[in-house]
Amino acid sequence: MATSLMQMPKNSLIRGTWGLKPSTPNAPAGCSHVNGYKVDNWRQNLRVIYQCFVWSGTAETRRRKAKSCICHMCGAHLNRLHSCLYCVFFGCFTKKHIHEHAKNKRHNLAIDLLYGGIYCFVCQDYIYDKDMEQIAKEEQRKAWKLVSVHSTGIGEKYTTWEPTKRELELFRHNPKRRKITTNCTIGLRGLINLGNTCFMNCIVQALTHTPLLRDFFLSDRHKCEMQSNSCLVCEMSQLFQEFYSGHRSPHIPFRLLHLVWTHARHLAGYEQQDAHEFLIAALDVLHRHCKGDTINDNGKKTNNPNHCNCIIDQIFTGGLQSDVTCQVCHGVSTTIDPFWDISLDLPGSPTPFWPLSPGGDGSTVNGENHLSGSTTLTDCLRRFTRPEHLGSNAKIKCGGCHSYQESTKQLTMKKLPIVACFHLKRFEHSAKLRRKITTYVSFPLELDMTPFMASSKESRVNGQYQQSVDVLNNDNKYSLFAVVNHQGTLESGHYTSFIRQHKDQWFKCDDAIITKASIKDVLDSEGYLLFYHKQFLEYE
Amino acid sequence: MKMEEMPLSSPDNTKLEALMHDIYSELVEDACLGLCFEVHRAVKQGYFFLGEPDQESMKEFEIVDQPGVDIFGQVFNQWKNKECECPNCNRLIAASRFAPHLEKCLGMGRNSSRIASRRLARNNMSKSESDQEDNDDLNDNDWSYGAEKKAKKRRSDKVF
Repeated sequence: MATSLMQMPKNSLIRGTWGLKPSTPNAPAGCSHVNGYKVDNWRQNLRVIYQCFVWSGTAETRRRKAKSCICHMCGAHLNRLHSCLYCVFFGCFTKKHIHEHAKNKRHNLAIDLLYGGIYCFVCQDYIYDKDMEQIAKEEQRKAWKLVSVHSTGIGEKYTTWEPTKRELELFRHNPKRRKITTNCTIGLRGLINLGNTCFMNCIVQALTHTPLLRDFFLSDRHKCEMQSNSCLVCEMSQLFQEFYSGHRSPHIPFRLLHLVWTHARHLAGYEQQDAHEFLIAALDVLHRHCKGDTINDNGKKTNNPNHCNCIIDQIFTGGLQSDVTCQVCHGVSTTIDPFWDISLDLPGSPTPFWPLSPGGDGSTVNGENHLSGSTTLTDCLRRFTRPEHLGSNAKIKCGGCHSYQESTKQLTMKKLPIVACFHLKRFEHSAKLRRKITTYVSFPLELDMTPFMASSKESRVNGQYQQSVDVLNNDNKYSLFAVVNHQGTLESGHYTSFIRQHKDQWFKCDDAIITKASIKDVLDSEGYLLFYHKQFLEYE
Repeated sequence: MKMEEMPLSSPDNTKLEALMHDIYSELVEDACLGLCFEVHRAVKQGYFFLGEPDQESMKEFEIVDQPGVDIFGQVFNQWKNKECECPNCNRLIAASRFAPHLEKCLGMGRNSSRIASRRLARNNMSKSESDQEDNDDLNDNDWSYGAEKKAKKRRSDKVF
């Protein structure tokens, strides 16, 4: 059986049969020894070899390859089988059977059956000939297409970028590189305050540090279909360019302000605005302007708000399930509504925070005295997803009983967004009172949303999730990546934000001033908007 | 022994486990081989070390963590004279006063509508009265609560 790579001594991996030579600008990747092969109908011959013995597109060719490709000398299936390019001979590389054949028959080219690389026995190395590689690429693409006919949605095989000869030249003449390493300022930039616009600056910092959004814009995925210059998505794209430009002076986001205000007239006026309100308005405009990028399942473009697949919806949209249970017949009526954020009530607001579950004692929660220790984000989420008695003044027409009955309503998460934004309702705008609730709410770096899912409803007693945390299930795990804070009073205050870059580095963004922050600074802050990113992403 | 000749129906678990282990190691080895090929090709084609950062650039973009300066090593609050061109009226406006300017420029907000309606009323007034209204334009460059108060006071002096 084949020797596992693990058992091979380390240095033999590098020096062994490879003969890996360091690159020099003038050493060619191809060799002259292929010229002897490139005669007559060589292209067609090579194609046949690739089709039959390397890239198997159908189950039939796969079976044929498995049955016929064995070493003619030792009968092995594995051991890095190679096929001679000049005749029908298979030999394994590991036991040097193909080398023997090459020497005896003076057939100096062979092809690796696993990855299709061409080996030259004269050069004693794998060589990369332009013409032969062209054929290899075409055959691989053909085989890949055949494979994807049977499975859905694979399409074209992704190929990594490779520089052309000209590009290589340019790279060599220009050795300066801007690489984003862990101790690098690239991606960070201050924002000028345009006159009480710190609320906007904080949202911009949070959005430009949302990994998926950053990747979308930096890979140039927005195809604009708007005729005028007023596309907010284009401006967003430009914003990312500014953040990754390497400029140290703060950026002036005047065009962004102009675009958001022209497209969201309800945000009229420049008086101190709510960062949360700005976030929702900005996401809405971005979503509307994403027309060119919206492709639905059938490959057709769609602008249906319920089936939009724009990047904003992909990242921020979750589904909130509302279950109304009739207290008489216990029939449940379920609706699911999309959401971009979750607004959470805090202790200190007019509506009582405790108890978290109906019928519970107001002073304790699950036996623990809640008065000691601060309120946590989890407490707020437990309250948000608690079953709530809708009183006798709010009877619902029950489909089962055909009459108005008292009911309980419960909100749970049906579908979690990739980025979950939690809005702590600190600003109270009731008829008699306008004030800020400064109750400290502690929030975690890592959050597991499993207890608040619709599927976890059965496992909850008095609002407490009963099942033990499944460490292997990563679907609902989130990491904090941005926090927006408000200091001061309702009338005059200032917004700042903390954002995370490079896994564990945090920075404080105070308009034009960006400084390094500690995790403690972040977690001790009051918290107004909390942005969490899913830790593990899955294909749908 | 060839793979096809191995009896799979054998009740011997150790044989099955050995077979499983071999298949698994082969898969891992193939994956490692693929990576080796990628590196080999990149080195031979000359683009393997393409993205390596140069020392100079690394230094240039290094994060600074000192009191009194930001991550770029710049002193706080030095950005006083930034200007920008208003996309609506194309005038050059001080960046820190752009928002109040834009509010009026776009005709948004409660104060803009008040000023606009006064301008409309101005067209129906005599010249001597409208001269007193010109002071309004001075407010375009600097928004403050005090100016609003002054303007209101002026209005009450008028005789319509």
